[in-house]
Amino acid sequence: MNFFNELSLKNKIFISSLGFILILSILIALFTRSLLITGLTGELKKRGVGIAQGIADSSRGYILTKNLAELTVLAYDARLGNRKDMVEYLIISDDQGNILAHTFTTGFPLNIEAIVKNQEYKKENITSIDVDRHSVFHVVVPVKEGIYTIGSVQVGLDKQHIENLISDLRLVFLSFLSMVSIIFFFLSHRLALHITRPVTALIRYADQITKGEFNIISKNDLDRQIFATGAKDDEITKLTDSFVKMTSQLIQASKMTNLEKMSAGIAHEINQPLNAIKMGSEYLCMMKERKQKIKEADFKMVLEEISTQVSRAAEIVGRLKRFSRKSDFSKEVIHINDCIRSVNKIIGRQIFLQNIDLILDLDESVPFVLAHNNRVEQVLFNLFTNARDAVNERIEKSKDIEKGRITISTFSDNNNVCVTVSDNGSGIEPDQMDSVFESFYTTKEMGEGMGLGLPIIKGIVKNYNGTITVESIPGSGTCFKIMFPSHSKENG
Amino acid sequence: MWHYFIVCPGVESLNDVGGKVSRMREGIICLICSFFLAVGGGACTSPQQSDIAPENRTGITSDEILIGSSLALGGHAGYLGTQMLQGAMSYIRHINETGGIHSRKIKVTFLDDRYNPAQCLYNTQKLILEKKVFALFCYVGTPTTVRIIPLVNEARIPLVGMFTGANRLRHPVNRYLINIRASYYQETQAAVDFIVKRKKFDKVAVFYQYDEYGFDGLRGTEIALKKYGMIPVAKGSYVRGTLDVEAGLEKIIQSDAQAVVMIGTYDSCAKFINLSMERNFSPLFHNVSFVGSKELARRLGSNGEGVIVTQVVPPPNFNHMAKPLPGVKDYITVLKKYYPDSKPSFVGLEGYLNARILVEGLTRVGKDITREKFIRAIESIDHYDLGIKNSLSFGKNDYQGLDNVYYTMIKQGKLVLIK
Repeated sequence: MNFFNELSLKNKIFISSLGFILILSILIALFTRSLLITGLTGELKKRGVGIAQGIADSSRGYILTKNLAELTVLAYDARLGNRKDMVEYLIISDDQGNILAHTFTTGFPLNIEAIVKNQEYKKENITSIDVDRHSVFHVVVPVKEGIYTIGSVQVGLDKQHIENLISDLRLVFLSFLSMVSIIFFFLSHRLALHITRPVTALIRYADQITKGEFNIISKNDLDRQIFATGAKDDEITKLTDSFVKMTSQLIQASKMTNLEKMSAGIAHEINQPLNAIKMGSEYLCMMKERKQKIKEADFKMVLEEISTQVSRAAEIVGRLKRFSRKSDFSKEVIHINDCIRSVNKIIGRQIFLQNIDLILDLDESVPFVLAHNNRVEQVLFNLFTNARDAVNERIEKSKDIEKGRITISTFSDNNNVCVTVSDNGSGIEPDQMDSVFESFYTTKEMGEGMGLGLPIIKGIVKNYNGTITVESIPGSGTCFKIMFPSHSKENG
Repeated sequence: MWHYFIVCPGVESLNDVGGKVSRMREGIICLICSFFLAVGGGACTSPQQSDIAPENRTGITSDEILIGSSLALGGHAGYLGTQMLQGAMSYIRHINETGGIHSRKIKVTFLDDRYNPAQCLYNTQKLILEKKVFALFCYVGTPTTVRIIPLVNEARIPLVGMFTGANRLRHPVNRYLINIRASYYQETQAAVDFIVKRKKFDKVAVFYQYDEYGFDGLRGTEIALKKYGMIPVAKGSYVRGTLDVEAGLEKIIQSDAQAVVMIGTYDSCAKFINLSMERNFSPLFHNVSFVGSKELARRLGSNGEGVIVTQVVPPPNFNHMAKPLPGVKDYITVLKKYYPDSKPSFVGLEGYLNARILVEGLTRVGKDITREKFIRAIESIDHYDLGIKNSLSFGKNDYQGLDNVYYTMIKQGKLVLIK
């Protein structure tokens, strides 16, 4: 049974249906065989009795006159032509059970005289006996003159004859069954494929999603692939729908985790304009209390500063809103440097406060790329925070005094726009390199990371036809490199 | 072949599956294939009985070879059987007296069937089953011999020399039925050849006995005529054992035939010829060997002048020949020695020749005689000279020895060989 359990769903269906058909075929074959044997045996007996009766009618006169020659002719006539296969022997006996005529040519079976003598020949009967190692039905038909029996006709019907008939039929029947089985072999194979294709597709997509490849999750695409056979199944449709929804939610959740991480920095960011506003407004209050005259220029400057600070706070809030907004995979022409600057504005200050140098080395001449601001920002945000965490981890663990440094650089390379985020953090162990892009893989402590960062990043990057690679030296730093194809190249 | 066929699509679809599963699938396919093979194979192995007969030495003892014969020794055809048996026995007695065959004597058990097919069958069963003879020998007549074919086949016992040219004993080819004389087809063919080619007649009528023998001759004549693009202009028949030839005669006279091929026995044929002579109708009368030429000539008297009879053996007398045929001479010599009262006859000569072939076959087998070996020995007889200017050959699919037909004409009450 283990063997069966190990099979794929398709093979399970295939083998079960095939097995079912085979068992059914065998049962039908056995049933038909038994039916045939009964039918043919009955028919054989009927014909045997018929032959014996015919002979009995013709032999009456010859038995009375003891014309052995004519009786012998009658006996042999019963075996003429095809009947020879069926009628093993025919014996005509008198009322004492003495054999008058028979059809034995090559030899007289040893026990036949006793058999003939012991027959209850006064009425018709059929017994199954062995004559010369030959299994036969021994048919006895009385020959009567008036109401008294004057002799009997005894016919041996060869059972082998039935076997031969059946073996002929069996060949035909088995070829037929084989044909049916072959057809079912293919049918069940196709059927198994047909049934399992949507499920297999779903499983494959689920696998890919856990690997962070979201780009395949377009509902239409999924539908087309899953229902390529034309079948519609509500369950699977629902499943697909919720699948797409969940993927989107997953990305959103990850974003929210990021926001949580950002909250300290953001609070700080907002505090600054608020402090400035407070300072300005307190200055104005104070001047009012002292009933001092504020210079027109000072007043104007304070108000302008308040306004500026409000605008600044509003901008921060707006950026947060933009970042947290649910977005789709639509593509627009963006400049990668803008995204970097935007992220820098959100998190740069926070990183700076953690005594880490954030160096932007941006090539302003890099071409545009086809992507979505929000998504790319999310990618960069994740990489920034990862770099920061790595630096902090190194400093914490090794009590290293080397100052943390994160370098972000952009450059174009062979019609590709590249972004590298390198840090001098703790690095990644070589044996973990392969799994960093896998879902739910994390080196961080419970509750700190979701393990969805890098896989989601990879998924997003792939969705914009980009690639992400990582190089790392444990203890001295990591460098993530993202490459997007340049938009101008694609157009040109 | 189809089980190879199944494997292919299965394997093709495995491309996307891992090696382990692939191996498993192949295993499953093999399993299924072997199932089909087993079932199919089982179906094919239906019991087949071999056609090779076991070596059978029935009737062979250290000093005797038992031969059985059922033939008419009494009754209306008693003359045929008696003559035939005397001809055959004269040679067999001669062989037995001169040392036998490899120091074994031939012992012939003969039973009288009075030309009754039923009795012939009964006798034959007795000979095979009770007398346990090695071979059957010298049967007389078509209906009698045809009756025992099933027994011959079942017992796989050779039957050597039948006094009948029936086609049924020649086709389909049966290796147990060893014919020596030419067939009725060959006799009627010779008759038609003589009538059409030599005499240039184109109106040929057929007069036949309404039974197996007559039908055989009729068919033979029709086949022969067909080769010349002709059909019989008239067909007349009579019932066996009767002399009711008038109706047939009338039909044939009406057709104005130039020749009549007659397939009958001497009594009816003699009556037919005598009656037609009375009515001044004198076409060429052409009889076949079975008619009983001597008796026919005797009954016709002067009316017999010019009547032709085809023979399968040469005339058993040498009065009219410059130099006697050696085979005929030997026959007359042994017949005189063992049956001094008997006169040489066509039938007797045929019996004598049958015995010659039987002895030749037995001699060729050697010491260890079996039925199959005997038949193979008979098959090996090729261009054997019996001294009758008619060489005898058997072969793998040829169980008729003599093929030539002799033409004899009644001249002054005697049968004369014509060239």
